[in-house]
Parts: sequence; structure tokens; C-alpha cells
Amino acid sequence: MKKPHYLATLAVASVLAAGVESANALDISRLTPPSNPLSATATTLSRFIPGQRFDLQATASPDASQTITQVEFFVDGTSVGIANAAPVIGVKTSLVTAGLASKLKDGRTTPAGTAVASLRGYSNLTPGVHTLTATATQGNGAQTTSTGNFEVVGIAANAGRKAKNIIILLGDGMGASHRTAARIVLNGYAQGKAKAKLAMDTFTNTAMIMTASLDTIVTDSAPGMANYVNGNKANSGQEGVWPDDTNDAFDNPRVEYLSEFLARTQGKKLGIVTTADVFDATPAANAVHTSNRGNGTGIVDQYLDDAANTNLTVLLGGGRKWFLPNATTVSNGFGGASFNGSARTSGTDYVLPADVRAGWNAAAGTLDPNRDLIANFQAAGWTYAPDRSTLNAAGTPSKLLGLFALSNMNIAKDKIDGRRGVLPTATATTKVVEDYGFPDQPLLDEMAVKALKVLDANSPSGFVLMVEGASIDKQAHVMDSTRWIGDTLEFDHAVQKAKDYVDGTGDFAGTPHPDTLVIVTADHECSGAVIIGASTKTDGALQTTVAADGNSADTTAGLTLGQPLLRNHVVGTYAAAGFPNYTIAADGYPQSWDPDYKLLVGYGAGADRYENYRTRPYPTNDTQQPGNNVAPLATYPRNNVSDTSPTAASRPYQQADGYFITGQVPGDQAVHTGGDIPLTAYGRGASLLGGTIDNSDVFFALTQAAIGGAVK
Amino acid sequence: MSFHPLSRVAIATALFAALAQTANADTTLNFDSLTAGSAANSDPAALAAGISFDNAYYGAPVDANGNGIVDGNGDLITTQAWRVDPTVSSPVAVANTQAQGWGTAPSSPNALDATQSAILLHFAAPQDVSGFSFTLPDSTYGTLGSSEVDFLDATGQQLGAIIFTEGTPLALISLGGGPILGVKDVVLASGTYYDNITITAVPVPAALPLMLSSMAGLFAFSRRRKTA
Repeated sequence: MKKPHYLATLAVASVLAAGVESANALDISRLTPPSNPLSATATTLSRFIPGQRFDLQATASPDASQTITQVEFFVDGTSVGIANAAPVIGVKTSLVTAGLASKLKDGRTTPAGTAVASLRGYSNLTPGVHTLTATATQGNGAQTTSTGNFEVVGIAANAGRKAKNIIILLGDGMGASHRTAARIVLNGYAQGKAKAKLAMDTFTNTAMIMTASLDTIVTDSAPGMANYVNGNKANSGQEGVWPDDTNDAFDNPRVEYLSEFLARTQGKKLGIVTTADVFDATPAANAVHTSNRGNGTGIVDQYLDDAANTNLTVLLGGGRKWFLPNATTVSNGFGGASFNGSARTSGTDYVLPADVRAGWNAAAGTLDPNRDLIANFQAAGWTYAPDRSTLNAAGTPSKLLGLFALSNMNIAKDKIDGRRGVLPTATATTKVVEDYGFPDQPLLDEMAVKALKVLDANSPSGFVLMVEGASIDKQAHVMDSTRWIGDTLEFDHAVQKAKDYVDGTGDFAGTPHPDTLVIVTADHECSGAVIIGASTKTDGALQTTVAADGNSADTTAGLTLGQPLLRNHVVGTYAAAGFPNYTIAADGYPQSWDPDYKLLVGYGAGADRYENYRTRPYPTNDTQQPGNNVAPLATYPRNNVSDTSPTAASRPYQQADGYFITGQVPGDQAVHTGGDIPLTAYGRGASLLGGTIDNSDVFFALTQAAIGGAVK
Repeated sequence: MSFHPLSRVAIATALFAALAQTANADTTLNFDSLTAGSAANSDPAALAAGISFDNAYYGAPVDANGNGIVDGNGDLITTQAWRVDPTVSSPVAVANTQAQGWGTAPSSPNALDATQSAILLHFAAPQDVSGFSFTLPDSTYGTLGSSEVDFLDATGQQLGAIIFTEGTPLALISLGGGPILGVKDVVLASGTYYDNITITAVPVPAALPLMLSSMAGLFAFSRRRKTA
């Protein structure tokens, strides 16, 4: 047979391809849970524990002029549900044709007649790999099928005693160097050895954690946290859901959280403690399901509205701005100016489709920017603590809400300076915490102790507690070494409290809780922080050198010509670094944040910035604070050296008195990095954690300990 | 041969007691005479029936610190079996299920607490078990999927099982089929509370086979002596 000319073949193929594109052939472009072909390695499958709930979803597009009329889901060949109608109250399936994204997963413009079909709250009890098949039917009866798979990971029943309580201590952005820096500052070294370990160093088991998310090697905090507590990968910004093809951020296919599963099956309670705004990605990714971590109004509403599903019992942190009714004027305290202290908007609120409500027994939600959520919490039996004094006086109520700032709480360094009565500068008349308007904020370890006592008193069947040291990450982003080291110390003090709870020491003297599993980990590393050495100067000499060198370059002919003078005069590497020596005060923090010969940190994932090695008197302007553009916070320094219209307020304060470092990344902040991070574990089931494992693997270790038990 | 009348009464009483023990009398454990939180081993009904409890796990042997144990050759013993958990200092306890958030106990107030650990129910001597039932608490909590109550002989071999679902409020779970002979221990799966544990069992008539084998041995020995 004569071969057709290759050009003819190409032409035919092109016509066919064009025809396919214009005709919008019947197909399924997305099948959820995400999966690879069965020929791929099983470890890349979506995985669940027996009985864990999750949604099945398929996006189906019809031929031209057709519409999708139904999608039927099959697991291992057996039908588990038919989606053939718009969401209806009490029905777990839906066929949604409106509000779809303009583009499909594969980049095509979403064809007319496309539908997103869902089956909510599915679960499977049989361990092993299962096939998931979706069959879509269009108006003329033509069908198409897509097949994926998922795995149910068996739990060894009765393997030992169970972990009654699980405490997850998450140092946001805390890589190995963050730990090491805190250890050097807190304990010092002698004869080449650490004089003492951090509390997190004393844990018995260690693992290295791979942190990638579904869409990137470098995760953000939302999936970075959620992966630990639901065992599945998600895209950036997503909390407890997978990506989908609708615009609604609250209708994405869900995966059941550890807290929800253990509340549903064992009656365990949930506590969330953070130094961040409680709407932030890490706290929310323990209890709330949304594809947009920025939807603060809906996120905090769901904490309360679905508290029966999570058994949320303790919620402590910042973020009052989401709880105040819209247009709540906050006056004074910020230097006399007033502003709207509420961030509640309809655009960040939630209303759930009927099928999600049916599948997850979830509240409907409503757009209510004027909701007084603190009053609603109190009406639901919660005790509310607006500051540290009230928190201390609260005893052990049945449910405890603490909101200690409008948004993120102050950094440990600034809270400690506030308690010590230290002003930021010689000319300042107010402390940083006073400028923020919240001079009486608790430290993370104080919140952790209170949370443990409240949970212990109210959780006969145990609890899950997540404690986040949030500003390790936030201050690494702005490359403020002193402040993230201070927050790592604060976090480690909280770790000690959790260890005390297990051992029956310290605040829990005489009452050990050996059936408690504690893990210390991070969602990812932030800033590529590394310990590069130490200053070769006393602090006095450092100040003189900074003033003399500034941003000038070496003009001496030779190898150092053109290099930054300040850097070359200050940075001591290898033997020149020696061992920095910090004096720790009785409050557990350095007596001086700028001791002689201080520890120096470099940033492998840093942005453009100016460096002078000294502690910044003021923290970087936090744009999440509602009052950040109102005096006096408006004068707090910003980090944007690339600001196109620099003003006194928007220029980085350190621009005038440091040397310029070209960043490795664009933008004004250091970024998260993709390196593995260390996890340490203590207590019942700690032996289940070890080796180099994926962050989603941790979920299966936690659930083995809580459901099947572990001997050690 | 004659007996003193009092001796006759004594013998009659002993015989009656023996008969009563061998009849299919039920033992019911509802733990309600105890204070919540106290040790299940102090339950009067359990004590009277020679029943005791231990926290259990399935796996290789470990010491009190949870570390593996090596044999005489220095090799780690890896044999998997149901074992008493030596890492636990607190004994198996009874709990008020209502106070624990698991609803009212079927026989209020207490039930046997297996929520955090599987439990080994020991008989003082092997029993032929013809009936074994229990009631779950008034709650949907419990391990999803199937759970098992396993019947083990004196060597730890499994003789039979009851398979049930924990999350069914107030479910009455019973042994089906014929009796299970020679049960020394029963494993109660973890994840729930057990109440009204009702056992119908008789001790294995251990003496008879022992006597028969001894007599056979003597007979054989005497035969050999004669032919030697």
C-alpha cells in the first residue's frame, strides 16, 4: 500500500484537531479526587482512612449544541450515585451548570452545556485501591467515561493503646535553621556543643517532611497545614478542598479533617491556638473548607456555624476584625485617629449549596457583613476573652474564644518589650503593643496552657489541639531575623507546655497524660534562612560601622573592589564566627536583642532589601491590620524597596542605614521554599513517625495512633 | 463404708456447687456497683466468676517502655500475638458513659471502658463458652467498619470471633452458632464501651482427659513390664 504523503497526513490531522476543538467533543476534563492512571505508583493516589468522608466530582462537557444531563459515579464498578439536577435541599448529588469558571483545567474555554457533577460526603471502609468511574450522558444519549482511582489506607486495629489526645504544634515557616538559630540564642554553645536543647529537640522521634502541594513544589500555608490533617494534597490557597471548575470558593469538593472525623467517630474536641489572625490559612485549615484562604468572613463564620461538626471548643488568637459587625469604629488607641475596625464583607462571606449541606451536615451560611459574631459565640455558650487578664481569669469554661488583636497578634519580641516597659527608640513615647492598641496580649505558651486546661476539663474522649507559631513565617517573610527568632523561642516555650502536659510536669505537675501524641512540625520553610556566622563587632562597634559604611562599596583596588564595605567589615564566617552568646532573662527571652558578636542570618529566598544586622526598632507594617494606614501604624516601616512612589511611610526604614542586597526572588518579601522540614514527635504513637515522609503521610500516622493505637 | 451425716451434707453441698458451676449459668457484668473510674478487676461479679481484665495489644512483645524484647540469641522477638500491654500502668477501668459524652449506658451508670485500648478478658481456667453477649453504649461513636471480639485458647490461638459494628447505639451483640470450647481469653476490640457482658460458660473438664491419658500410660507401662 502506498504511504500517504506526510503533508496530507498532517493536513488531515490538523482538520481533525480543529474540528475537535470547534465541536467541543463530549468529554470529562476533571475527575476528583485527583488521581493518576493505575499504572502509576500508588503513592501518588488520593488516600483516605476507612470511613473518611470526601466528595466525588466530575466536570463534563458535551458535544456542540448538547447539554450534560447526568453523571453517574461508580466505585469498583458499582454505582454510588447519579447527579442529574441542580442542588436540592437534602440531596447529596448535584449537577451544576451555572457559575462555572471561564476556563477548564486543560486551558480550554469552558464549552456551553458544561456541568460540574458532585456526590458529597462519600466514604469507603474497604482498604485497598479502588477505581472511580464517572459516566457522563448528554441530551442525545451519548456517553463518555473517565476512570480514576483512590486508595483506602488500612488502619491496624488494636495495635496498642490509642492516642487519646493529639497536639499539633506548627511553627509556620520553621525550617531546620530556624530551630538551630533559636537553640543558639536560647542556650548557647560550649566546647562545640549546645549547652541545652530546645524543648522540641528533646522529642524522641524525628522525621523529615516533604512539603509540596498539589500544584507546586513550594507550598503555601493553606494546603501546607491541611495536608497534615486530611491526608490529601490541595492547590495553593485551598483549605480542606480540591480544585474545581466553579467560581464559588465554598463549593469545592471537600475532604474530611482529622478534627471532623474524630469528633464524628469518637467525640473528640478541637482547639485552635495561633498568634496569627484566626482566619489565617494555618488555623482555618483545621476546621474550615474553602478554596480561597482570603475569605475571612465566611471562614470565621464557619468556625461557629459548623462547630457541631468539628467540636471546636477553644479558639485563641488575633482576628477580631472578622468578628466585629461591619463599620465598627475603632477609635483612639492608635494615636487618636479612628477607622473601621471590621473587615467583614459580603464578598468574603459564604453560602453553601444544598448538596454540600446535605453531604456534610453543614450550616447554610448567609451573607451577613453586619453580623456580631462575638455576640453569636457568647450566645452559643462561649466565654470570650479580649485580653490576657480576662484569659487568665476565665478558669476552664466549657468553650473559650479569645481574640487579642484586630488581626495578627504582636510578635513575641514586641510583646516582651511591652511587658518589660521597653520603648522602641530613645525618642518613642509609646510601646509597639500600645501603638497597636492591644497592650495586654498573651504569649503563645500562655495561650497553649489555657487551651490545654480547658480542653482537658471538657474532653473526656480526648481532643485535637493545633498550636501555631505564626510569625516565625511572617517575620521570615520580611527578613526580620530578631523577630522570627523571638517567635521561635515563644513557640518552643509552648512546645514545653505540651511536653509538660504529657509528662505531668510544670503547669500540669502530678497529672501526666501519656496517651497524648505531640508533634512539632512546620508547613514549609520560609525565606531560605541560614545561619551564616556571627558579627565580628560589639554592638557599639557595629553601630559605628553601620554609620560609617552605609551602602558604600569598597574602593580599594584588589579582590574586594566594589564589594559592600558593611558586609565585609561585619560578617564573621567559620572560625571568625565563634559562638554568639546571648543572655536570657527570667522571662525566657534575650536580655538584649543586639548583644555583642550577635548571630547573623542569611536569606536564600530573600527579596531585595537593605541590611544593617541590627534589630529593627519597629516591626514591619502589617497590611492585614485595619489600622495600618492610620497613625501611628502608618509610620511603621514597609519592606518594599521596589516601591515606585516611595514616601516616608512606604520606604523601607533600613534603606538609609544599611547595604543593599539583591534578592533571589521578585517582590518585597522573602518566599517559602521547597526544602524538607524536620518533624519531631513525643508521646503515644511517636514511634509511628520517622524517616523521610510526605506531609500527607503524617495524617495516616496520627489516625493510626488515634484509631488503631500504637504500643509506643 | 459409712459417712457422718454432716459429712453427707458437706459432700452434697460440694456436689451441688460443682453441678451449679457446670450448668449453663450466666455471668452478667454491668459494672454498676463500682464507682466510675475504678478498676474493672474489682467488680464483684467478675471476681466471683474468676474473670479479670488487662489492657491489650496485638504485636511483638515489648517491655514497659515499649521497647522490643530479644531472645537468647540476641534477636528481636517478632512473633505477633495478643498480649497484655506492659506499657500501661493504669488498670482497665469502668466509666460513666453519660459523663464521657457517649450517652447513657444500657445498664446505667457504668460500662467497661475500651475506648482507648483493646481489653483482654481472662478466665481463671479454660471455659467452654456457649453464650457471650454485650450491649454497646447509646452513641454513634466507635471505630468505623467492623470490629471483633476474639476468643483465644490458652496458647493465644483464635478459636472464634464475633464481628460487629461499633457505631450502632444500644446494639445487642451476641455469639452465634455453637459453643466455643477451651476459651482462656477474650479480646474486646478497642473504640467503644461494653456493658451487660453476659457469659454462659462451663469450665473445661480438664481432669478427665488427664486421667485417661495417665491410665493409658500406666497400662502400657505394666504391659511392657510383663513382656520384658
